[in-house]
Amino acid sequence: MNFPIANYFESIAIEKPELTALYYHGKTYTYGQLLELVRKIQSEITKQISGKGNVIAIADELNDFTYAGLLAISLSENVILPFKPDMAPDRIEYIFEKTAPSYILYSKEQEGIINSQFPFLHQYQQLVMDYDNILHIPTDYPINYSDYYKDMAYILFTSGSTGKPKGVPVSKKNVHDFLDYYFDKNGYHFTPEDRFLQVFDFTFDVSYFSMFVPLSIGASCYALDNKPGRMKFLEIIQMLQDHKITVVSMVPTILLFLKKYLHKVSLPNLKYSFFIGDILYHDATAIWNKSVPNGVVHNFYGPTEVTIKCTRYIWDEQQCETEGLNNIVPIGTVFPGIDYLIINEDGSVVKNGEMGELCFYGKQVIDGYVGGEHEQMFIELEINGQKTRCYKTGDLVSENERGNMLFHGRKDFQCKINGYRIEIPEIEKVVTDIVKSPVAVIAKKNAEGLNFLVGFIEGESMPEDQLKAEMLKFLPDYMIPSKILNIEKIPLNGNQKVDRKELGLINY
Amino acid sequence: MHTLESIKDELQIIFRKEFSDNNIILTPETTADDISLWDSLTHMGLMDTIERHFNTNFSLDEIISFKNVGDLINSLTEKLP
Repeated sequence: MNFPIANYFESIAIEKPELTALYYHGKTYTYGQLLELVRKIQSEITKQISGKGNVIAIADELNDFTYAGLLAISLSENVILPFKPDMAPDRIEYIFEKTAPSYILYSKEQEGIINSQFPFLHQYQQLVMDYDNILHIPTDYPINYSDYYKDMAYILFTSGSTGKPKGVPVSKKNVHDFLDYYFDKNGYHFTPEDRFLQVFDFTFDVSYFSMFVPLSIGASCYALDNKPGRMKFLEIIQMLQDHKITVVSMVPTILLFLKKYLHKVSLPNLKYSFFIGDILYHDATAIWNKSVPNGVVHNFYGPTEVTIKCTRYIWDEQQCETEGLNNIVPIGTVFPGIDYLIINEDGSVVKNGEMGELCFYGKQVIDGYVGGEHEQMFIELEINGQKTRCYKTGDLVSENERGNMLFHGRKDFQCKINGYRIEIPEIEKVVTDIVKSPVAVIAKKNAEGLNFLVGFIEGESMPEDQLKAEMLKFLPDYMIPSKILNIEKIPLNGNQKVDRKELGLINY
Repeated sequence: MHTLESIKDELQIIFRKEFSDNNIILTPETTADDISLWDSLTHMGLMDTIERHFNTNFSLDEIISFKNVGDLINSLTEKLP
Protein backbone atom coordinates (compact mmCIF):
# COMPACT_ATOMS: atom_id res chain seq x y z
CA MET A 1 0.00 0.00 0.00
CA ASN A 2 1.14 3.51 -0.74
CA PHE A 3 1.40 5.98 2.11
CA PRO A 4 -0.64 8.98 0.96
CA ILE A 5 0.06 11.32 3.88
CA ALA A 6 3.48 12.35 2.57
CA ASN A 7 2.00 12.68 -0.91
CA TYR A 8 -0.57 15.16 0.41
CA PHE A 9 2.32 17.24 1.73
CA GLU A 10 4.02 17.08 -1.65
CA SER A 11 0.86 18.22 -3.49
CA ILE A 12 0.35 21.19 -1.15
CA ALA A 13 4.02 22.15 -1.41
CA ILE A 14 3.71 22.26 -5.20
CA GLU A 15 0.36 24.12 -5.25
CA LYS A 16 0.93 26.54 -2.37
CA PRO A 17 4.66 26.67 -1.65
CA GLU A 18 4.32 29.96 0.24
CA LEU A 19 2.33 28.43 3.14
CA THR A 20 4.16 27.98 6.44
CA ALA A 21 4.92 24.32 7.05
CA LEU A 22 7.29 24.31 9.98
CA TYR A 23 8.47 26.53 12.77
CA TYR A 24 11.58 25.50 14.60
CA HIS A 25 14.00 27.38 16.81
CA GLY A 26 12.90 30.87 15.75
CA LYS A 27 12.83 30.05 12.03
CA THR A 28 9.92 29.29 9.75
CA TYR A 29 10.03 27.06 6.71
CA THR A 30 7.48 27.25 3.94
CA TYR A 31 6.11 24.15 2.27
CA GLY A 32 8.24 25.05 -0.76
CA GLN A 33 11.46 25.32 1.27
CA LEU A 34 10.77 22.08 3.12
CA LEU A 35 9.98 20.26 -0.13
CA GLU A 36 13.30 21.42 -1.58
CA LEU A 37 15.14 19.76 1.30
CA VAL A 38 12.91 16.69 1.10
CA ARG A 39 13.70 16.31 -2.62
CA LYS A 40 17.46 16.40 -2.02
CA ILE A 41 17.26 13.67 0.62
CA GLN A 42 14.72 11.64 -1.35
CA SER A 43 16.83 11.71 -4.49
CA GLU A 44 19.89 10.52 -2.58
CA ILE A 45 17.87 7.71 -0.98
CA THR A 46 16.47 6.53 -4.30
CA LYS A 47 19.90 6.86 -5.93
CA GLN A 48 21.36 4.46 -3.38
CA ILE A 49 18.44 2.10 -2.81
CA SER A 50 16.47 0.55 -5.60
CA GLY A 51 13.85 -1.29 -3.57
CA LYS A 52 11.06 -0.13 -1.30
CA GLY A 53 10.29 -1.05 2.30
CA ASN A 54 13.88 -0.61 3.47
CA VAL A 55 14.36 0.39 7.06
CA ILE A 56 16.07 3.79 7.25
CA ALA A 57 17.23 4.92 10.67
CA ILE A 58 16.93 8.65 11.24
CA ALA A 59 18.50 10.63 14.07
CA ASP A 60 15.64 12.39 15.80
CA GLU A 61 16.99 15.91 16.14
CA LEU A 62 13.53 17.57 15.96
CA ASN A 63 14.83 20.12 13.46
CA ASP A 64 14.16 20.84 9.79
CA PHE A 65 16.39 17.92 8.72
CA THR A 66 14.37 15.51 10.83
CA TYR A 67 11.08 16.62 9.29
CA ALA A 68 12.51 16.60 5.77
CA GLY A 69 14.14 13.22 6.39
CA LEU A 70 10.93 11.66 7.70
CA LEU A 71 8.99 12.95 4.69
CA ALA A 72 11.71 11.78 2.29
CA ILE A 73 11.70 8.28 3.80
CA SER A 74 7.89 8.15 3.52
CA LEU A 75 7.82 9.54 -0.03
CA SER A 76 10.42 7.00 -1.18
CA GLU A 77 8.17 4.30 0.37
CA ASN A 78 10.73 3.19 2.90
CA VAL A 79 10.33 2.63 6.63
CA ILE A 80 11.12 5.17 9.38
CA LEU A 81 13.22 3.97 12.31
CA PRO A 82 13.78 6.96 14.64
CA PHE A 83 16.56 7.01 17.20
CA LYS A 84 17.64 9.75 19.56
CA PRO A 85 21.31 10.68 19.46
CA ASP A 86 21.24 10.92 23.26
CA MET A 87 19.89 7.38 23.64
CA ALA A 88 21.96 4.79 25.51
CA PRO A 89 24.49 3.38 22.99
CA ASP A 90 23.72 -0.25 23.88
CA ARG A 91 20.03 0.38 23.26
CA ILE A 92 20.69 1.84 19.82
CA GLU A 93 23.04 -1.04 18.99
CA TYR A 94 20.34 -3.54 19.99
CA ILE A 95 17.65 -1.74 17.96
CA PHE A 96 19.90 -1.66 14.88
CA GLU A 97 20.82 -5.34 15.25
CA LYS A 98 17.12 -6.20 15.33
CA THR A 99 16.12 -4.09 12.32
CA ALA A 100 19.28 -3.99 10.15
CA PRO A 101 18.68 -0.49 8.72
CA SER A 102 19.80 0.06 5.14
CA TYR A 103 20.85 3.61 5.93
CA ILE A 104 21.42 5.92 8.83
CA LEU A 105 20.29 9.46 8.17
CA TYR A 106 21.56 12.35 10.29
CA SER A 107 22.53 15.98 9.90
CA LYS A 108 26.09 17.25 9.73
CA GLU A 109 25.54 18.82 13.16
CA GLN A 110 25.37 15.33 14.69
CA GLU A 111 28.49 14.05 12.95
CA GLY A 112 30.71 14.60 16.00
CA ILE A 113 28.34 12.79 18.37
CA ILE A 114 27.79 9.91 15.95
CA ASN A 115 31.53 9.44 15.48
CA SER A 116 32.45 9.65 19.16
CA GLN A 117 29.48 7.99 20.91
CA PHE A 118 28.39 5.34 18.49
CA PRO A 119 31.40 3.72 16.79
CA PHE A 120 29.29 0.66 15.91
CA LEU A 121 27.22 2.84 13.55
CA HIS A 122 30.13 2.99 11.15
CA GLN A 123 29.32 -0.44 9.81
CA TYR A 124 26.06 0.90 8.36
CA GLN A 125 25.69 2.97 5.20
CA GLN A 126 25.26 6.62 6.13
CA LEU A 127 23.66 9.69 4.63
CA VAL A 128 24.82 12.94 6.21
CA MET A 129 22.38 15.79 5.58
CA ASP A 130 23.48 19.34 4.91
CA TYR A 131 21.71 22.27 3.25
CA ASP A 132 24.07 22.13 0.28
CA ASN A 133 24.32 18.42 -0.36
CA ILE A 134 23.64 14.99 1.09
CA LEU A 135 26.84 13.10 1.65
CA HIS A 136 26.75 9.34 1.21
CA ILE A 137 29.32 7.44 3.28
CA PRO A 138 29.47 3.94 1.85
CA THR A 139 30.51 0.90 3.89
CA ASP A 140 30.82 -2.81 3.28
CA TYR A 141 27.55 -3.38 5.11
CA PRO A 142 25.24 -5.16 2.68
CA ILE A 143 21.79 -3.81 1.98
CA ASN A 144 19.53 -6.79 2.32
CA TYR A 145 16.43 -6.19 0.28
CA SER A 146 13.49 -7.96 1.79
CA ASP A 147 9.74 -7.74 1.60
CA TYR A 148 9.45 -8.09 5.34
CA TYR A 149 8.74 -4.42 6.08
CA LYS A 150 7.31 -3.34 2.72
CA ASP A 151 3.93 -2.37 4.19
CA MET A 152 5.34 -0.57 7.21
CA ALA A 153 5.38 3.18 7.88
CA TYR A 154 7.60 3.22 10.97
CA ILE A 155 9.12 1.02 13.64
CA LEU A 156 9.20 2.20 17.25
CA PHE A 157 10.86 0.51 20.18
CA THR A 158 9.09 0.51 23.55
CA SER A 159 10.26 -0.73 26.91
CA GLY A 160 10.13 -4.54 27.19
CA SER A 161 9.58 -6.65 30.29
CA THR A 162 12.27 -9.16 29.28
CA GLY A 163 15.00 -6.59 29.76
CA LYS A 164 15.20 -5.58 26.09
CA PRO A 165 13.04 -3.08 24.19
CA LYS A 166 10.23 -4.38 21.97
CA GLY A 167 10.13 -3.38 18.29
CA VAL A 168 6.67 -2.30 17.14
CA PRO A 169 6.31 -2.15 13.34
CA VAL A 170 3.28 -0.02 12.41
CA SER A 171 1.91 -0.40 8.89
CA LYS A 172 1.04 2.39 6.46
CA LYS A 173 -2.53 1.15 6.49
CA ASN A 174 -2.71 1.39 10.27
CA VAL A 175 -1.41 4.98 10.22
CA HIS A 176 -3.77 5.84 7.40
CA ASP A 177 -6.76 4.36 9.24
CA PHE A 178 -5.78 6.28 12.37
CA LEU A 179 -5.38 9.65 10.62
CA ASP A 180 -8.61 9.14 8.72
CA TYR A 181 -10.44 9.52 12.06
CA TYR A 182 -9.46 13.20 12.13
CA PHE A 183 -10.14 14.38 8.60
CA ASP A 184 -13.44 16.29 8.83
CA LYS A 185 -14.95 13.51 10.89
CA ASN A 186 -15.82 12.90 14.50
CA GLY A 187 -16.18 16.61 15.22
CA TYR A 188 -12.74 17.61 13.88
CA HIS A 189 -12.39 20.41 11.35
CA PHE A 190 -8.75 21.34 10.97
CA THR A 191 -7.90 24.07 8.46
CA PRO A 192 -4.70 25.44 6.86
CA GLU A 193 -4.86 28.24 9.45
CA ASP A 194 -4.34 25.76 12.27
CA ARG A 195 -1.07 25.69 14.15
CA PHE A 196 -0.17 22.31 15.69
CA LEU A 197 2.38 22.09 18.46
CA GLN A 198 4.68 19.11 18.42
CA VAL A 199 5.74 18.37 21.96
CA PHE A 200 7.28 14.90 21.79
CA ASP A 201 10.20 13.41 19.92
CA PHE A 202 9.64 10.91 17.12
CA THR A 203 10.28 7.87 19.29
CA PHE A 204 6.85 8.67 20.81
CA ASP A 205 4.13 7.86 18.29
CA VAL A 206 1.90 10.85 19.09
CA SER A 207 4.48 12.94 17.20
CA TYR A 208 3.35 11.37 13.92
CA PHE A 209 -0.11 12.82 14.57
CA SER A 210 1.32 16.27 15.36
CA MET A 211 3.38 16.22 12.17
CA PHE A 212 1.37 14.30 9.57
CA VAL A 213 -2.02 15.92 10.21
CA PRO A 214 -0.91 19.57 9.73
CA LEU A 215 1.45 18.78 6.85
CA SER A 216 -1.22 16.90 4.94
CA ILE A 217 -3.77 19.73 5.07
CA GLY A 218 -1.59 22.82 4.54
CA ALA A 219 -1.49 23.77 8.24
CA SER A 220 1.73 24.39 10.17
CA CYS A 221 3.66 22.32 12.66
CA TYR A 222 5.48 24.09 15.49
CA ALA A 223 8.27 22.02 17.02
CA LEU A 224 9.22 22.48 20.63
CA ASP A 225 12.83 23.60 20.79
CA ASN A 226 15.15 20.66 21.10
CA LYS A 227 17.95 22.59 22.75
CA PRO A 228 19.48 21.11 25.91
CA GLY A 229 17.64 22.02 29.06
CA ARG A 230 14.90 20.32 30.94
CA MET A 231 12.12 22.82 31.56
CA LYS A 232 9.99 21.32 28.82
CA PHE A 233 6.61 21.82 30.47
CA LEU A 234 7.19 25.53 30.87
CA GLU A 235 8.34 25.78 27.26
CA ILE A 236 5.10 24.12 26.14
CA ILE A 237 3.01 26.83 27.84
CA GLN A 238 5.27 29.51 26.41
CA MET A 239 4.91 28.10 22.88
CA LEU A 240 1.12 27.80 23.26
CA GLN A 241 0.94 31.45 24.29
CA ASP A 242 3.53 33.01 21.98
CA HIS A 243 2.54 31.22 18.78
CA LYS A 244 -1.22 31.14 19.32
CA ILE A 245 -1.22 27.37 18.89
CA THR A 246 -4.63 25.92 18.01
CA VAL A 247 -4.04 22.14 18.40
CA VAL A 248 -1.85 20.36 20.93
CA SER A 249 -1.38 16.79 22.14
CA MET A 250 0.22 16.59 25.57
CA VAL A 251 0.80 14.17 28.41
CA PRO A 252 -1.49 14.85 31.41
CA THR A 253 1.61 15.12 33.60
CA ILE A 254 1.86 18.79 32.57
CA LEU A 255 -1.37 19.55 34.47
CA LEU A 256 -0.08 18.02 37.70
CA PHE A 257 3.22 19.74 37.29
CA LEU A 258 1.79 23.22 36.70
CA LYS A 259 -1.43 22.81 38.69
CA LYS A 260 -0.77 25.63 41.14
CA TYR A 261 -0.22 28.14 38.32
CA LEU A 262 -2.73 26.97 35.73
CA HIS A 263 -5.53 29.31 36.82
CA LYS A 264 -3.37 32.22 35.64
CA VAL A 265 -2.90 30.77 32.13
CA SER A 266 -5.14 32.01 29.33
CA LEU A 267 -5.05 30.36 25.94
CA PRO A 268 -7.97 31.77 23.93
CA ASN A 269 -6.57 30.49 20.61
CA LEU A 270 -6.29 26.85 21.63
CA LYS A 271 -9.15 24.94 20.00
CA TYR A 272 -8.14 21.37 20.77
CA SER A 273 -6.37 20.16 23.92
CA PHE A 274 -5.62 16.49 23.44
CA PHE A 275 -4.28 14.47 26.35
CA ILE A 276 -2.68 11.05 25.97
CA GLY A 277 -0.05 8.85 27.51
CA ASP A 278 -1.02 8.73 31.15
CA ILE A 279 -3.89 9.10 33.63
CA LEU A 280 -5.81 12.37 33.24
CA TYR A 281 -7.23 13.68 36.50
CA HIS A 282 -10.61 15.38 36.56
CA ASP A 283 -9.83 18.22 39.00
CA ALA A 284 -6.70 19.28 37.09
CA THR A 285 -8.64 19.09 33.80
CA ALA A 286 -11.32 21.41 35.23
CA ILE A 287 -8.65 24.04 35.96
CA TRP A 288 -7.11 23.60 32.50
CA ASN A 289 -10.53 23.87 30.88
CA LYS A 290 -10.92 27.39 32.29
CA SER A 291 -7.64 28.36 30.59
CA VAL A 292 -8.97 27.34 27.18
CA PRO A 293 -12.28 29.25 26.92
CA ASN A 294 -12.66 28.58 23.20
CA GLY A 295 -11.48 25.01 23.13
CA VAL A 296 -12.43 21.43 23.86
CA VAL A 297 -10.56 18.87 25.95
CA HIS A 298 -10.33 15.31 24.68
CA ASN A 299 -8.77 12.45 26.63
CA PHE A 300 -7.25 9.77 24.40
CA TYR A 301 -5.85 6.34 25.05
CA GLY A 302 -3.72 4.24 22.74
CA PRO A 303 -0.84 1.80 23.02
CA THR A 304 1.82 2.02 20.27
CA GLU A 305 0.60 -1.43 19.17
CA VAL A 306 -2.84 0.02 18.30
CA THR A 307 -1.37 2.96 16.33
CA ILE A 308 -1.18 6.13 18.38
CA LYS A 309 -4.74 6.56 19.71
CA CYS A 310 -7.74 4.28 19.72
CA THR A 311 -10.23 5.56 22.31
CA ARG A 312 -11.56 9.04 23.05
CA TYR A 313 -13.46 10.75 25.83
CA ILE A 314 -14.87 14.23 25.25
CA TRP A 315 -14.42 15.88 28.61
CA ASP A 316 -17.43 17.62 30.11
CA GLU A 317 -17.24 18.87 33.67
CA GLN A 318 -20.65 17.67 34.86
CA GLN A 319 -20.63 14.37 33.03
CA CYS A 320 -17.09 13.54 34.09
CA GLU A 321 -17.91 14.33 37.69
CA THR A 322 -20.65 11.71 37.64
CA GLU A 323 -18.86 8.97 35.75
CA GLY A 324 -15.17 9.52 36.55
CA LEU A 325 -13.58 6.94 38.82
CA ASN A 326 -11.45 8.18 41.75
CA ASN A 327 -11.01 11.55 40.01
CA ILE A 328 -9.70 9.74 36.90
CA VAL A 329 -11.16 10.89 33.57
CA PRO A 330 -12.58 7.93 31.58
CA ILE A 331 -10.76 6.86 28.42
CA GLY A 332 -14.10 6.86 26.62
CA THR A 333 -15.25 4.91 23.61
CA VAL A 334 -13.26 3.00 21.00
CA PHE A 335 -12.77 4.61 17.56
CA PRO A 336 -15.29 3.35 14.99
CA GLY A 337 -14.02 0.30 13.12
CA ILE A 338 -11.63 -0.91 15.81
CA ASP A 339 -12.74 -4.09 17.59
CA TYR A 340 -12.15 -4.72 21.25
CA LEU A 341 -12.94 -7.07 24.10
CA ILE A 342 -12.60 -6.88 27.86
CA ILE A 343 -11.50 -10.29 29.09
CA ASN A 344 -10.96 -12.25 32.30
CA GLU A 345 -7.77 -14.11 33.22
CA ASP A 346 -9.15 -17.24 31.47
CA GLY A 347 -9.79 -15.38 28.20
CA SER A 348 -13.57 -15.23 28.60
CA VAL A 349 -15.38 -11.94 28.07
CA VAL A 350 -16.33 -10.16 31.31
CA LYS A 351 -19.96 -9.50 32.23
CA ASN A 352 -21.35 -6.02 31.61
CA GLY A 353 -19.65 -3.44 33.80
CA GLU A 354 -17.04 -5.83 35.20
CA MET A 355 -13.35 -5.08 35.15
CA GLY A 356 -11.00 -7.01 32.86
CA GLU A 357 -8.06 -6.68 30.50
CA LEU A 358 -8.62 -4.55 27.40
CA CYS A 359 -7.80 -6.34 24.13
CA PHE A 360 -7.92 -5.07 20.55
CA TYR A 361 -8.11 -6.69 17.14
CA GLY A 362 -8.67 -5.58 13.55
CA LYS A 363 -8.12 -2.02 12.34
CA GLN A 364 -5.03 -0.18 13.66
CA VAL A 365 -3.68 -3.23 15.52
CA ILE A 366 -0.16 -4.44 14.64
CA ASP A 367 0.36 -7.98 13.38
CA GLY A 368 3.25 -8.71 15.72
CA TYR A 369 6.57 -7.44 17.07
CA VAL A 370 9.90 -7.22 15.24
CA GLY A 371 11.40 -10.67 14.89
CA GLY A 372 8.13 -12.35 15.89
CA GLU A 373 9.10 -11.91 19.55
CA HIS A 374 6.88 -11.30 22.60
CA GLU A 375 4.08 -13.50 21.25
CA GLN A 376 2.67 -13.69 24.79
CA MET A 377 1.26 -10.18 24.21
CA PHE A 378 -1.24 -11.71 21.78
CA ILE A 379 -4.04 -14.15 22.45
CA GLU A 380 -6.12 -16.19 20.03
CA LEU A 381 -9.80 -15.97 20.89
CA GLU A 382 -12.85 -17.46 19.26
CA ILE A 383 -14.96 -14.52 18.08
CA ASN A 384 -18.13 -15.13 16.07
CA GLY A 385 -16.99 -18.66 15.39
CA GLN A 386 -13.60 -17.58 14.06
CA LYS A 387 -10.21 -17.79 15.71
CA THR A 388 -9.05 -14.18 16.04
CA ARG A 389 -5.67 -12.83 17.08
CA CYS A 390 -6.04 -10.12 19.74
CA TYR A 391 -3.48 -7.77 21.28
CA LYS A 392 -3.55 -7.76 25.10
CA THR A 393 -2.90 -4.25 26.38
CA GLY A 394 -2.27 -5.22 30.02
CA ASP A 395 -4.61 -2.35 30.97
CA LEU A 396 -7.50 -3.10 33.31
CA VAL A 397 -10.73 -1.35 32.36
CA SER A 398 -14.49 -1.57 32.81
CA GLU A 399 -17.26 -0.19 30.65
CA ASN A 400 -20.04 1.88 32.18
CA GLU A 401 -23.67 2.08 31.08
CA ARG A 402 -22.90 5.00 28.75
CA GLY A 403 -20.34 2.86 26.94
CA ASN A 404 -17.38 4.80 28.30
CA MET A 405 -14.39 2.84 29.48
CA LEU A 406 -12.89 3.52 32.88
CA PHE A 407 -9.21 2.89 33.52
CA HIS A 408 -8.40 0.91 36.68
CA GLY A 409 -4.65 0.38 36.37
CA ARG A 410 -2.12 -2.08 35.00
CA LYS A 411 -2.13 -5.83 35.50
CA ASP A 412 1.68 -5.97 35.33
CA PHE A 413 4.69 -3.86 36.25
CA GLN A 414 4.39 -1.29 33.52
CA CYS A 415 4.22 2.38 34.49
CA LYS A 416 4.40 5.77 32.82
CA ILE A 417 7.00 8.44 33.52
CA ASN A 418 6.24 11.71 31.70
CA GLY A 419 4.19 9.72 29.21
CA TYR A 420 6.99 7.26 28.43
CA ARG A 421 5.96 3.64 28.79
CA ILE A 422 8.30 1.80 31.13
CA GLU A 423 8.51 -1.90 31.96
CA ILE A 424 10.00 -2.03 35.45
CA PRO A 425 11.52 -5.52 34.89
CA GLU A 426 13.65 -4.02 32.08
CA ILE A 427 15.26 -1.64 34.58
CA GLU A 428 15.66 -4.39 37.20
CA LYS A 429 17.40 -6.62 34.65
CA VAL A 430 19.91 -3.89 33.74
CA VAL A 431 20.68 -3.03 37.38
CA THR A 432 21.01 -6.71 38.35
CA ASP A 433 23.49 -7.25 35.53
CA ILE A 434 25.57 -4.33 36.81
CA VAL A 435 25.50 -4.91 40.58
CA LYS A 436 25.12 -8.74 40.59
CA SER A 437 22.77 -8.52 43.60
CA PRO A 438 18.98 -8.80 44.04
CA VAL A 439 17.30 -5.62 42.85
CA ALA A 440 13.78 -4.19 42.90
CA VAL A 441 12.39 -1.02 41.36
CA ILE A 442 9.04 0.51 42.29
CA ALA A 443 7.02 3.45 41.00
CA LYS A 444 5.80 5.94 43.60
CA LYS A 445 3.83 9.17 43.37
CA ASN A 446 5.07 12.48 44.74
CA ALA A 447 2.87 15.09 46.44
CA GLU A 448 1.69 16.43 43.06
CA GLY A 449 0.72 12.93 41.92
CA LEU A 450 3.65 12.57 39.51
CA ASN A 451 5.21 9.13 39.08
CA PHE A 452 8.86 8.61 39.97
CA LEU A 453 11.02 5.52 40.31
CA VAL A 454 12.90 4.27 43.36
CA GLY A 455 15.45 1.46 43.11
CA PHE A 456 16.48 -0.92 45.91
CA ILE A 457 19.65 -2.99 45.92
CA GLU A 458 20.32 -5.74 48.41
CA GLY A 459 23.62 -5.21 50.23
CA GLU A 460 26.36 -2.78 49.33
CA SER A 461 27.02 -1.59 45.79
CA MET A 462 28.88 1.12 43.92
CA PRO A 463 28.08 4.80 44.68
CA GLU A 464 24.70 5.98 43.33
CA ASP A 465 26.21 8.45 40.82
CA GLN A 466 28.50 5.78 39.38
CA LEU A 467 25.66 3.27 39.15
CA LYS A 468 23.41 5.78 37.38
CA ALA A 469 26.22 6.52 34.90
CA GLU A 470 26.53 2.77 34.20
CA MET A 471 22.76 2.46 33.75
CA LEU A 472 22.74 5.30 31.23
CA LYS A 473 24.81 3.12 28.91
CA PHE A 474 21.80 0.83 28.57
CA LEU A 475 18.71 2.85 29.44
CA PRO A 476 17.23 6.23 28.51
CA ASP A 477 17.34 8.88 31.25
CA TYR A 478 13.61 8.62 32.01
CA MET A 479 14.17 5.00 33.08
CA ILE A 480 16.80 5.90 35.68
CA PRO A 481 15.29 5.84 39.22
CA SER A 482 15.26 9.21 40.98
CA LYS A 483 16.69 7.52 44.06
CA ILE A 484 18.58 4.26 44.54
CA LEU A 485 18.86 2.80 48.03
CA ASN A 486 20.94 -0.02 49.45
CA ILE A 487 18.97 -2.17 51.87
CA GLU A 488 19.92 -5.23 53.86
CA LYS A 489 17.37 -7.54 52.28
CA ILE A 490 14.78 -7.16 49.50
CA PRO A 491 11.51 -8.09 51.30
CA LEU A 492 9.51 -11.01 49.89
CA ASN A 493 5.82 -11.72 50.35
CA GLY A 494 4.14 -15.05 51.14
CA ASN A 495 4.49 -16.13 47.50
CA GLN A 496 8.21 -15.43 47.64
CA LYS A 497 7.75 -12.51 45.26
CA VAL A 498 9.21 -9.07 45.88
CA ASP A 499 6.98 -7.30 48.39
CA ARG A 500 6.57 -4.01 46.54
CA LYS A 501 4.07 -2.68 49.05
CA GLU A 502 6.62 -2.98 51.85
CA LEU A 503 9.28 -1.36 49.68
CA GLY A 504 6.90 1.54 49.16
CA LEU A 505 6.79 2.13 52.90
CA ILE A 506 10.55 2.53 53.26
CA ASN A 507 11.43 6.12 54.09
CA TYR A 508 14.65 7.74 52.92
CA MET B 1 16.15 44.70 53.85
CA HIS B 2 17.07 42.26 51.11
CA THR B 3 20.08 42.78 48.89
CA LEU B 4 21.15 40.93 45.77
CA GLU B 5 23.85 39.22 47.80
CA SER B 6 21.56 38.22 50.70
CA ILE B 7 18.94 36.81 48.31
CA LYS B 8 21.62 34.82 46.51
CA ASP B 9 22.88 33.43 49.84
CA GLU B 10 19.38 32.45 50.96
CA LEU B 11 18.69 30.84 47.58
CA GLN B 12 21.93 28.88 47.89
CA ILE B 13 20.76 27.42 51.21
CA ILE B 14 17.40 26.51 49.63
CA PHE B 15 19.06 24.90 46.59
CA ARG B 16 21.47 22.91 48.76
CA LYS B 17 18.61 21.59 50.89
CA GLU B 18 16.26 20.95 47.97
CA PHE B 19 18.85 18.99 45.98
CA SER B 20 20.64 17.47 49.02
CA ASP B 21 23.96 18.81 47.77
CA ASN B 22 26.11 21.01 49.97
CA ASN B 23 28.56 21.67 47.16
CA ILE B 24 26.14 23.81 45.16
CA ILE B 25 27.56 27.30 44.64
CA LEU B 26 25.08 29.65 43.00
CA THR B 27 26.09 32.47 40.68
CA PRO B 28 23.76 34.67 38.62
CA GLU B 29 24.77 32.59 35.60
CA THR B 30 23.82 29.22 37.14
CA THR B 31 21.18 27.36 35.08
CA ALA B 32 19.39 24.01 35.39
CA ASP B 33 22.09 22.49 33.20
CA ASP B 34 24.64 23.11 35.98
CA ILE B 35 22.74 21.20 38.68
CA SER B 36 22.04 17.58 37.81
CA LEU B 37 18.85 17.15 39.82
CA TRP B 38 17.32 20.47 38.73
CA ASP B 39 14.94 19.31 36.03
CA SER B 40 11.36 19.81 34.96
CA LEU B 41 10.07 17.52 37.70
CA THR B 42 11.92 19.25 40.55
CA HIS B 43 11.63 22.78 39.19
CA MET B 44 8.10 23.57 40.30
CA GLY B 45 8.77 22.15 43.78
CA LEU B 46 11.80 24.41 43.97
CA MET B 47 9.74 27.45 42.93
CA ASP B 48 7.15 26.56 45.56
CA THR B 49 9.82 26.34 48.28
CA ILE B 50 11.28 29.70 47.23
CA GLU B 51 7.82 31.32 47.25
CA ARG B 52 7.11 30.03 50.75
CA HIS B 53 10.55 30.98 52.05
CA PHE B 54 10.30 34.58 50.86
CA ASN B 55 6.53 34.73 51.40
CA THR B 56 5.90 35.86 47.85
CA ASN B 57 4.30 34.56 44.64
CA PHE B 58 5.51 34.15 41.09
CA SER B 59 3.24 34.14 38.08
CA LEU B 60 3.68 31.39 35.50
CA ASP B 61 4.94 34.01 33.03
CA GLU B 62 7.63 35.00 35.53
CA ILE B 63 8.65 31.39 36.08
CA ILE B 64 8.82 30.87 32.33
CA SER B 65 11.03 33.95 31.97
CA PHE B 66 13.63 32.74 34.51
CA LYS B 67 16.55 31.62 32.39
CA ASN B 68 19.12 31.51 35.19
CA VAL B 69 19.56 32.22 38.89
CA GLY B 70 20.26 35.88 38.09
CA ASP B 71 16.73 36.30 36.67
CA LEU B 72 15.32 34.72 39.81
CA ILE B 73 17.35 37.04 42.06
CA ASN B 74 16.25 40.10 40.05
CA SER B 75 12.58 39.12 40.32
CA LEU B 76 12.87 38.58 44.07
CA THR B 77 14.70 41.91 44.49
CA GLU B 78 11.74 43.70 42.90
CA LYS B 79 9.18 41.86 45.02
CA LEU B 80 10.87 41.96 48.42
CA PRO B 81 11.14 44.94 50.77
